[in-house]
Amino acid sequence: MNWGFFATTVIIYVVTSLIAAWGLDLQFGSTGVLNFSFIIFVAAGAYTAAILTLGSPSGPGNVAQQQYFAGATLPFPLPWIGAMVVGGILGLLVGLVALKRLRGDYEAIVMLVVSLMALYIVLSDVGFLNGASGLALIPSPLQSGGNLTGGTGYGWFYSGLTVVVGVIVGFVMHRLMESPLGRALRAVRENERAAEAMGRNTAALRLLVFALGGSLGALSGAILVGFINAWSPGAWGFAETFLLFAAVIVGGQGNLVGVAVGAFIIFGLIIQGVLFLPQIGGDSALTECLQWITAGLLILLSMWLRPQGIIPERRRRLSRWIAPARRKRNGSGLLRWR
Amino acid sequence: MSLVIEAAGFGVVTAGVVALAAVGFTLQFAITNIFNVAVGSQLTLAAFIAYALNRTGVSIWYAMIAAGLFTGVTSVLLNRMIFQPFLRRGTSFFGLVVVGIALLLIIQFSSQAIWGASFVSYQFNAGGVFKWGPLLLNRTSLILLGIAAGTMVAVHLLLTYTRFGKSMRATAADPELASSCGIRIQLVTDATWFLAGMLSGLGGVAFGMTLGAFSVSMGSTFLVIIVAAAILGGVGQAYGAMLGALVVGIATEETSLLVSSAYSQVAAFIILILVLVVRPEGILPGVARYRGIAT
Amino acid sequence: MLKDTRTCSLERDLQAAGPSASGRSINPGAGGPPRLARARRARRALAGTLAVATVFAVATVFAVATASSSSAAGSTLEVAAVGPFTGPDAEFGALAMGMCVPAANTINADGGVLGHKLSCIPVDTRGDPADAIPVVAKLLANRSSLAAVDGPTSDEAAAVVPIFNREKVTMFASAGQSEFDKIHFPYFWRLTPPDAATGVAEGVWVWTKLHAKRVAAVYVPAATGQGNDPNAIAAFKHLGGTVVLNQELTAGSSSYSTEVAQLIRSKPQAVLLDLDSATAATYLSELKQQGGLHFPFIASETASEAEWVTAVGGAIGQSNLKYIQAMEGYETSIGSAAWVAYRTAMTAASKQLSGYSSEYLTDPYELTGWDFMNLMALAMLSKHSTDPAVYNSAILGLTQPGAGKTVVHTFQEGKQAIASGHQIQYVGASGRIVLDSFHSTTGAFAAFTIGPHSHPAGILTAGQITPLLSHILK
Repeated sequence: MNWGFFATTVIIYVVTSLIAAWGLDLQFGSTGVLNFSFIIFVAAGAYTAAILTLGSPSGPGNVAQQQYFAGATLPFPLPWIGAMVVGGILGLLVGLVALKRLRGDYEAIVMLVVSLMALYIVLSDVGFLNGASGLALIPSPLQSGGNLTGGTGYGWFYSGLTVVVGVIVGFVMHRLMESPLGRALRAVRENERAAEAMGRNTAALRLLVFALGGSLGALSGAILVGFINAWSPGAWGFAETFLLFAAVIVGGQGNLVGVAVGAFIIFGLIIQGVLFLPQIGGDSALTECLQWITAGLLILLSMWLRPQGIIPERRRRLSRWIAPARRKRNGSGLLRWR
Repeated sequence: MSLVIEAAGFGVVTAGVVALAAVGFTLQFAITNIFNVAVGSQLTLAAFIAYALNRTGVSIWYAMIAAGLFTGVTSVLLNRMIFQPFLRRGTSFFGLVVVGIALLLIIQFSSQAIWGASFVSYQFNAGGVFKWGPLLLNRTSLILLGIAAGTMVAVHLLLTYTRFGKSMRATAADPELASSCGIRIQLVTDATWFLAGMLSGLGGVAFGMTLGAFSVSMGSTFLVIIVAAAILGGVGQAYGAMLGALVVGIATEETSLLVSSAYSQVAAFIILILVLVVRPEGILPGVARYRGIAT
Repeated sequence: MLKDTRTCSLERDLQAAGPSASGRSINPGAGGPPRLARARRARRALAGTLAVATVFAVATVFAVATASSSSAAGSTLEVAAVGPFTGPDAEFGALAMGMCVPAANTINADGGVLGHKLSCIPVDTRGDPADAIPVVAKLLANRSSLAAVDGPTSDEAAAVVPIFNREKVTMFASAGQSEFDKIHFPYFWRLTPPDAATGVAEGVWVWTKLHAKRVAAVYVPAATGQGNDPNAIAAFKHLGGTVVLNQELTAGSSSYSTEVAQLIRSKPQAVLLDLDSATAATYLSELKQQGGLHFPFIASETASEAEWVTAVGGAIGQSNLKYIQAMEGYETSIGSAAWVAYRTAMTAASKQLSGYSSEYLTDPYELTGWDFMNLMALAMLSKHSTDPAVYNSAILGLTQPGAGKTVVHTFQEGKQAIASGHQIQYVGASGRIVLDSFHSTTGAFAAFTIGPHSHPAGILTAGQITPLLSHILK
C-alpha cells in the first residue's frame, strides 16, 4: 500500500486551504467584513500563475492550443509573486465595493454576486481564460525540461515547499496581528466610529486588509495549480467559499491557530475523510451523496457542540475592563445585529 | 424594434417566476433576519416533490400547491429544529450561515440520493402560443405569470390589511416592542417561515415548468438570481423583490438581444452592482434603513 | 426583559424607525464573580473541545478501519471507472461504469484472467480537476490490484491523464480534447473520435447530406469537451456555406426566449447544436412553445446519451426528437456477431447499472468500453501479466491486422486463439479498430437519430473528414 501520493495530496490541499482561510480570516475575522466572493482570489492566483508559466498563447509552451489573453514564461517563484500581486489588486477592487457602509450580511450577498459575476465572465469569454475548459498542462515549478509528469519524489518536495510557505505565511500573519496594525484592525472591527474618532483611517485599513487577504488567497491558488497542473471553473464555484467560511467559523475566527484547526478539520478530516466511507451496494452515486450528507452533519455537529469555534479568539488583556457590545439574542428566532 | 418589445415580454414572464421565490426570501429575511442559504435546495426539493406527484397522474397545478405546502411546513420545522436551537445556544450570525451551508449540503444530496442525478420533466399540456401585438405569449407562461401576480397581491393584502400581517410587519420593525405589545413572536415567526417556504416551493415548481427539464443541481443555479432580485429591489420589501425580479428578467432578455447571449447573465449582475454602489439599500425603501443595513 | 413604557399600538410600531432600533445593545450581565465564571468557561471549553475531537476521531478510525478491510487479498483485479458521479455531469460516471461491468461479468464467467476475477469500482472526480486529484491519489495508494482505468472523462482528463501515465496505469479514456491528439501518453487509449473531428463531420454533413447553404450555430462554448461548433462552422464555411446566426449561450439560464426568437427569424436551413442537457431542454422547449421546432438539428454524440435524450425528450415530447441527429464515430459493427455478444452481456448487466437505458446498446462509449476491457484481458493473457506496465504495450498489436493473424470477436475466442499459440487481431463490438501513434482514432462518422430506435441516418467516410480536419486544425 503506497500512501505516499495520497499523503502529499492531502498535505498540499490542507495547507493551501489553510493559507486561503487565513486570508479569509484576515478579511473577515479581524475586520468583520463578510467576503463571500473570496474564492475568486484563489482563482485569480491560479490563473495568473498558470499563464505566467504556460507562456504566450502563440508561443511553444501552449502545446494544446488553449485560448487565453496573454502569457509569459517566467521562472519560479515569479509566477507565484505575480499571482500575489494580481490577488492584491483584485482584493483592492473588491474592497472598494465593500467600502460602502453595508451591513455584514447584506455585504455578504453583494460579494456572492461578485463571485458569480466573475464566474460568468470567465465562462462567457472563451478568449479570456479558455472558458469552461479551463487551462491545462500547466508545468509545475522547478521541474526540469517541462516534464509534466513528476514523480512521487517531486510530490514530497512540493508538499515540503508548501509547508514551508505555510509556515512563513503563518509567521508573517502572527507578527502582523500582534503589531500596531493588528490592533488598529481589531479596533475597526469592534467599534468603527470610535476607531475613526481616534484618528484611524478606516477606509484605508479596510482596503489594505482586502488587498492582503486577496494576496493570500491568490498565493494559495498559485500553489494549488502548480500541483494539479490544471485549473477550470468547476474548481471555484461559490460553494468553495462556503467551505472556507466553515473552516474559519468551526475552527475559531480571529486567531491563527483556530483557523488552522478549522482548516484541518474541514479540508482534512471531513472532505478527505469521507472518501473512506464504505461503499454502499453497487450504486456509486449513492455513496457520494452520503459523503456529502455526512460532511454536512459533521459541520452541524461541530457548530452545535462548539458554537464559538473550537479555539475562540483570545480576549486581549486590555479589554477585560470594558464590556464589549454584545449581540442580543431572542429565543424566538429573531436575531438583532449590531 | 418589435423584437425589443418581444424580449421585454419574455422578461416579464421570467420575472414572474423569479418573483415568487424572491418575495419569499425577502419576507423571511425581513422578519426573521436570517439569511437562509439552504433555500436553493428547498426550491429543488419542492420541484422534485411536485414531479413525484405529477408522475402518479396528479395535475401539475395541484402538485404545485402540494409542493408549496410541503415546503412551507418543512421550513417551519427547519427553523424550529435547527435555526432556533442554534440561536439559543449562542451561535453568532455567521455561525448560522455555516449552519445554513451544512443544511444545503444535506438537503441537496439527500435529494440526489433519492432521485439520482438524472433529468426529469413535468407532464402537462403546455398550451399553444399566440401573438398579441408584438408579443408572443404562451398559455403556460401566462398562467404562471397570473399565479405569481395573484400571489403577490395576496401577500400585499395580507401584510397591509390583515391584523396578522401587521403583526408581522411590527415584528420586522421592532421585535421587543412587538413582544411587549402582546404579539406572539413565535407564532409570527412560524407563519413567516411557512409563508416564505410556500412561496419558495411554488417558485421552485414554476422554475421546473419553465426549464423544460431539470435535475437536482437546479437550486444552486437560481439561489443567487433570487437573492440578487431581492436585494436589487430593496431587501425586506415585497414589492422591491418584484421590482428586482422585473429588472433581472428584462435585463437578461434585452442583453441577449442587444449585446450577446453570452453576456445575458452578467448584465443582470452588473446592474445589481451599479444599483448597490449608487443606492445600497436597493431601489425601493425596505428594512434597510431601519436596520442600518446600509447607510 | 425590559419594560417598555411606550404606548402599545401597532400603528405606532410600524412607524418606528431610525437607528435607535438597531443601535441598542445589551450586556447580558455577569453570572457570578469573575474567577468562577472563568473557571466555568474553561471547563465548558475543554468539554466542548473534547466532545468535538472525540466525534472526529471515532469517525476517522471507523472510516479507515472499514476502508482497509474492504480491499481483497489480491485475487481480484480492480478496474476503476473514473469520472463524475455527482454534479452536473453525473451521467458520465454512470457511463464509465457501463464501460466496465458487462465485460467484467463476461470475463469472470469465463474464469477471469490468469486466475483473477475482475471488479469495477467507481471513483468520483466530481467533474473538475481540483476535486479529481485527491480521489485519484487515494486510488493509486492501493494500486497493487489496479488493472486499468475506464476514463477519465473530459472534465478532469487534463489533470489526471499525466498522473496515470506517470504511474503506468492503462487508461481507456472518453476525453475528447484535441490536446490528446498530439501528445504522447503511452498509457492513454481513446477509441472515440476527438471533438474536433466530430465538429468537422457535422459541418460536412450539413453541407453534403442536408444540402443546406444557410446554417445557424447554437452552442455553449466548450459545452462538451473542446466544443464542436467552432470546428463545424469552420468546416461549413470552408465548403462554401453561410452561417446566418452564431449564438453563444450561457449554460443553465432559466430562459432563452429571446435567443429562440432570433433563431426563428434568421430562417436557417439547418442548425448546428452543441448544448448540454439542461440548456438544450430549456432552449428546445421554448422553441417548441414559439412554434419553431421544425429545423433539422445536428449535434455531437452527447445528444445520443441517455441523459440528454431523457431531458430533451421530456421537455419537447418524444415525438419531436426526430428533428435531432447526433454525429458519432461509426463502424459497421451493429448487428455483427461481436455486437450481439456485447448486447447479451449489456442487457444482462442492466440491473447493475444505475444509468442504464436501451441507448447503451448502441452507445459508442459503451461499445468501445466493452472492446477496451476485452483488449485489456487479451493483452494480459498474451503477456502473462496483470501489471499495466507489462501488458500495456501489447494492446496496439492486438488491434492491427497482420499476415497469419486470427481474427477474433470476443474474449473467449481470443483466449482460445492465444492458448493455441496464434497471433490475434481483435475486431469487436465497435468494429475494426484503427489507432494512430497517439492511440487516438479517426474513422467514419454517422449521423444517428436519437431516441429509442436510434439508427444511422447516413454515413460519412474518413476520407470526407480527415483532409478537411487537418486543413482546419493546421
